[in-house]
Amino acid sequence: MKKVANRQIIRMLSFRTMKEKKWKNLISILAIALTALLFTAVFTVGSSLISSAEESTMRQVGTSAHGGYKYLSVEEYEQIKEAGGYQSISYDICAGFAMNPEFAEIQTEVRFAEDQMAKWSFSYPEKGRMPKEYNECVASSKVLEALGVPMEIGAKVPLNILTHTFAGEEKLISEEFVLSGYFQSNEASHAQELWISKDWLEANIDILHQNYYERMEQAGRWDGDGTIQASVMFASSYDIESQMAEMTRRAGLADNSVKESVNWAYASSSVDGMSVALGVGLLLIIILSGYLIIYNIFYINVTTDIRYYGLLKTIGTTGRQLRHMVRWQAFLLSAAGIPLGLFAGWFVGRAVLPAIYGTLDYGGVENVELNPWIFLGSAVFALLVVYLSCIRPCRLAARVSPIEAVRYVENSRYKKKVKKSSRVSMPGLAIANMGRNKKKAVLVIASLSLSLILLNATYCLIKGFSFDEYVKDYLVGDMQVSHLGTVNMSYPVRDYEAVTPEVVEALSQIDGVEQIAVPYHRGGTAVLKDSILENFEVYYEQLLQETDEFYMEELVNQVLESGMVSADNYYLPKELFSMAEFLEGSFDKEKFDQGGYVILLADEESKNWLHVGDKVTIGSYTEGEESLPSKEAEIMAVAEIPYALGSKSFPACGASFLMSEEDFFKLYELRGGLHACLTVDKEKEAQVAEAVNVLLEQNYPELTLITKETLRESFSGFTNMFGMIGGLLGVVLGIIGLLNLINAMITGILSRKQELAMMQAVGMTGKQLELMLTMEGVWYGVFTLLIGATVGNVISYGLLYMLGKNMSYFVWEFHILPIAVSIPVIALVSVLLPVICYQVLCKRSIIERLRLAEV
Amino acid sequence: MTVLETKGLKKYYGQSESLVKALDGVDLTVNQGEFVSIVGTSGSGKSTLLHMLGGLDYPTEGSVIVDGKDISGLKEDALAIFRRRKIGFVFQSYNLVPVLNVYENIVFPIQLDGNKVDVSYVDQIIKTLGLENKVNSLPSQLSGGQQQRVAIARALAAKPAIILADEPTGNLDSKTSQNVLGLLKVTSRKFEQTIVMITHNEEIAQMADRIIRIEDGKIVTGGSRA
Repeated sequence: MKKVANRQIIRMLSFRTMKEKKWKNLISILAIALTALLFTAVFTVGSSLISSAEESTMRQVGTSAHGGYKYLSVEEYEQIKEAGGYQSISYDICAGFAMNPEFAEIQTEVRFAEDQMAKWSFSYPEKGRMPKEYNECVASSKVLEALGVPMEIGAKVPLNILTHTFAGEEKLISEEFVLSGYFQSNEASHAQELWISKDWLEANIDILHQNYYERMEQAGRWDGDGTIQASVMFASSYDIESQMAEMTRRAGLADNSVKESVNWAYASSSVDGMSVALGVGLLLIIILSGYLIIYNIFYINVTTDIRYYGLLKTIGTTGRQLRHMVRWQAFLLSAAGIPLGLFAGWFVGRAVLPAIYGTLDYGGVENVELNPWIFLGSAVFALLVVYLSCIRPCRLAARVSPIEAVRYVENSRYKKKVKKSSRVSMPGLAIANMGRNKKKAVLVIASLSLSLILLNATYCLIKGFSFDEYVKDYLVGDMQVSHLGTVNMSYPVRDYEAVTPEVVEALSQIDGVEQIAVPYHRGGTAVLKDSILENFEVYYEQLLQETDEFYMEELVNQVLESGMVSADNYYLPKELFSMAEFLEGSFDKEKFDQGGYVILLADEESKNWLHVGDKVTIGSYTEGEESLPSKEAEIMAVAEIPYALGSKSFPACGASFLMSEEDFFKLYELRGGLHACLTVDKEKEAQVAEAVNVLLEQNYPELTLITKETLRESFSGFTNMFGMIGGLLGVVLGIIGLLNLINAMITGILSRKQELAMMQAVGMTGKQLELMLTMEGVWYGVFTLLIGATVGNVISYGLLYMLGKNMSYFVWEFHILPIAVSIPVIALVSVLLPVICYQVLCKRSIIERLRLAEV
Repeated sequence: MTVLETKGLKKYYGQSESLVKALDGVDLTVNQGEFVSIVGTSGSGKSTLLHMLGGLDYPTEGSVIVDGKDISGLKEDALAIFRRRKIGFVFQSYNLVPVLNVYENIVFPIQLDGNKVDVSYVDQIIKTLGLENKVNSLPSQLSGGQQQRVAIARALAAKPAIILADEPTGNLDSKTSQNVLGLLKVTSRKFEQTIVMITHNEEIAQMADRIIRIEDGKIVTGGSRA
């Protein structure tokens, strides 16, 4: 086909056509902007969450590098460095540990590091610089705080550094360093880095010049002092393990002579299936709703302009050119709408993020991404939606027959040929008018009800979160004292025996405390008989096929090899024991108290391979050769205990047991209990809480008090997040729906200008006309509300049921309030708009309207 | 008996320099049962005159008296009610309501008024106009001639004082035009209906009892019965 240089004229024509219809453009631009806004907001939130999750994991790991080597000699490092194949490489050398008494609970590693290495370790000085002079050092805020050294460059830092001589003897070096820089320590990491100068290192430490394992054998040393730790960054994070192996091979190092490590922050994907599903679902909703409105607006615009397109075709415009015209209009509108949406979307995303972070635990990492990819991606998605939405309207414009277009009335494709006569009434006329273009009506109603459904579902979700149920998960008794590690999963230390008799005694001294019940916990082992091991193997073989938990396979093999699983064992005093809920088997208290029996605490996995009547041998982890006491016991029953009573963690591929007092304390010697569950005089609740807090702050900083008040805070943070996201999405979709309604009604009225004038000519009064138009709007509203209230509730029930299944504190409730609240809004629009349109129409006399064919 | 009368009817558009005198002092009378045609070239003011007669527009000066009532001072809604009771319109482009079937279109003005339909009368009209088989059809299923017959039926159904027909055959071929005009004339006789028709076509105008000629907003001949 010959290419005709007509692009210019077509574009000029579409531009001129658009200029004619300002309000239509405004609605289209708004719709496109809203769609882009949603995409940008979701992408901003999503990528910020992913980056925070990743960084949080990396901070736990201690590095952002892809992988690395531990225990290298200087020569080995040089070999690797020369071998290449990486993007960048850097190293540090370990000097030893700082052993000042203040560091009893802070593991402080003393190292020399290159700048890059310090950056990768999240420990690069924020103020000052890396050490240069002999006795300079860089330390974290936590270290300085512990030492009582002010955060000032030049401050004196006295350190006792424990290192090893070549022969492997311990050596303690005391030295006063001068602070050359410091950084904020992150909550997530377990160890604190303390950087010293290379000069100091070389002067005091034997640096490794032979293979580590060789030295280990020669000197009998296990420590890493004087060894190089290297980190590498590859061009891509794909299959780091092979890239590392390949690099070792290239460097010509023997397989087992060096220790490779892979940063599992990259290996384990930081997003789980649930989040991915949620994200994809969200994107689909946005695409759908964006499509609903943009398509609708374009479709309606093309239908109202159909005579105009027919005219263009009559004078020789081809279908292709018309299609081009419509598409070009769409892209012009996108050029205006998308940047607007991108800009606003980022701010919306940023505004929502704090609420989401409030409910997540990324160890204080709360990144807000400002990444060009977010905008590029959102723009592409928004354009995609616009493009999809254009397809059918383009086809409609392209296929218009010049003759039909001139006589085109909206119901020309009305399938119905005959209609039974009935009395003409305004509501009846209105509904008939709606039926002229069923597709339009369905689209408008669908997009409006979608937002109603979403709002309603969100409301049901929030209302369904039961605080009482939530409390049950986190609190037993009126108040509970627990170790921070069992409450806050990101707290680096977990102490399951922190509630010592001393703590209990101190608590019982507080006025108003009536009773204290203490559950006990110890992680131990359970030796399984072969028959149980077989069950275990069968169950996990199947589970492994279904999951991709990379660590599980290894664990299962370990269990099969040793015939032993991890067992979390509990003892509950009688006040707490009564809270156990028996699921299987029959419980005989007398028999149980005599010993030799355990109760299996049900979790998702263990109840599948352990059953009532099975015998297990409960023991402890062995250290060295000494044999520890163990006890054979029969599973008497299966039960559940409140989540708040447990350690909040479950043994992987293991089981949890409830034991009798005698058995438990014969096996284990404990410093203290897991929690202290307090029963308190109701009148004195506030005073007790205050007194407990004072006690804990002064004497037991690692213990924390959980009350209904503290739970209420986290609960409302949690529900607020859902409310904010759901509400925001619902409101934006609502605006989209309303825009759809407005567009449909305005075009519906304007395209019938002549018809309405004729009705007036044959005697319809203004009031009757207004009533008819208003009724059209009212019908839209009525259908939307009906669908929202019926189908909507079914859908939200289904959705929330799936979601709530995993949350013990979600209880489905039927709600219709959001729908009731939206009635006035919809009513207002559907009543006001026709009235306004009518007023606009009335500016022209009936004769003018009768005569003027609409263009 | 006079059903329609205008006195010194004037309609001016625009101001000073661009002043257009669409009607410039029109006096005419039409008697009960008469079939009058108004002819003139385009721009002669015949359509404006029709709009004044039908209460679709307000005159600049003068009055229009229909059935003894001066309508020139009525308000918008009162005019709408006047139209559906006293005037039946037949337009060039049929102008039926697309979502109503033939029967509903015919009785539409009556029902707008909230009145009971005179069923036997409407049936008679439908029969006269040969629409018996089409009562349940929607306008989009009808030919141009059929649609115009429905429009005529609608105009007749409310038993108006006058039917105003604006180029009723403008969109039809000559054979159908003859047919429709014949029906218009028959119904005028049969139901003693006063009809005022405007046209630019001499031949069609000849079908009427009387012809009023209008030029430059003034009646040249036929302003009242000779």
